[in-house]
Amino acid sequence: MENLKLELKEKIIDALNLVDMTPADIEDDAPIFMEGLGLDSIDALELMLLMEKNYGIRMSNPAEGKKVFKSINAMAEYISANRTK
Amino acid sequence: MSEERQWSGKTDGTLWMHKALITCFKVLPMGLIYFFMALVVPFYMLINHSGYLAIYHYLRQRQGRGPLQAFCGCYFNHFLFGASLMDRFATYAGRKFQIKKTGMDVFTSLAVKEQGFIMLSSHIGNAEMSGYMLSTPLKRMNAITFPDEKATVRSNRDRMLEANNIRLISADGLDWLFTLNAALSDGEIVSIHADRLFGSSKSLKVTILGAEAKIPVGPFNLAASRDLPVTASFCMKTGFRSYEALQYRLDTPEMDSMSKAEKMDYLAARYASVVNEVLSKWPLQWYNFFEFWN
Repeated sequence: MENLKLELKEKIIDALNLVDMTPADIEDDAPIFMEGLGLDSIDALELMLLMEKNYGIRMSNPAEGKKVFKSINAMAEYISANRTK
Repeated sequence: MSEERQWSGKTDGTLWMHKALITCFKVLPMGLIYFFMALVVPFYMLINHSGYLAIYHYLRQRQGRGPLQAFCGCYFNHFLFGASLMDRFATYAGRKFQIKKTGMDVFTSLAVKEQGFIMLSSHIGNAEMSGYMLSTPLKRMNAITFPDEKATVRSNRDRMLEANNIRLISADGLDWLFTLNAALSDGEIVSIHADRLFGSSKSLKVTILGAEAKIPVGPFNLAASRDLPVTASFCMKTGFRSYEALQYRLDTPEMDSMSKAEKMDYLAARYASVVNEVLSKWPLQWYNFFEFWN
């Protein structure tokens, strides 16, 4: 799980072009949107694409999506339980 | 981002006003409606003074008109904007308009492919009218709309557009992003405004009518991330009861070797170029009533 979290952070930094950040700057349980990484709607769509391209997970349910994108911990848990790639 | 620069996302008018308008269009001749509107326009220009000034500055600085020409241009701009709104309600009431189609092969050739595409719209002309004539039986079109539009406007649009396999998605909260993502994964069409910052302050710089302007990153990011084809769509009022719908293909094979950032910049520049072309032909149908170039 720790490896997956690190991989996820690296992919997020790359996909969202967070050039000033390293994986160590992203806390596992910090909120991803707003007060956390300060991401917006464009970034949310990038994260959905990241989930689909890298892990074969299609995000289409808003209620589920909000729980998944709550934190790195939540994303990693969801990926390990649902990944097809 | 300043408050003035950001679009509020609201459509003017109350619920009963919209219902009354639709009823009027069923019984009154269009010429009479336009006549009343011509009388009301000066008052609207006075009330909506910041909107008037934005158009005045646009005509003076971007279209190079003199003070008197710009003042008269403001009147005709507001009149044409009002006429476009009236035409929309006339369509809700069942009236028909002649629409000349230019570049429609761009749309039809993409609509039969498995992959979806992005259709950029603008606050130039009457984009909604093109929605009433673009029939997409093989591929659903998802039109992103601003939240807070009046219920009557939304219900009438839903009714009119549903028949053409077009779904309206209100850009409210985060839920719509999941609907949008699913639509693109399913190879559907997404129609989105490319000339107003909304929901995100991220922007791209382009040159429109000789000056630098900011346009939203979102639509271009969507296309570049997913390698989707992109078109720009316009529907310009050309006469009392006629329009011309135009479609332009923006992506090119040259983009295959570009990075994502380069693709976004390229698409944005192509979009700006098409906007320039349309505005040079129809300068008075520019309906961004705020200081776009600030």
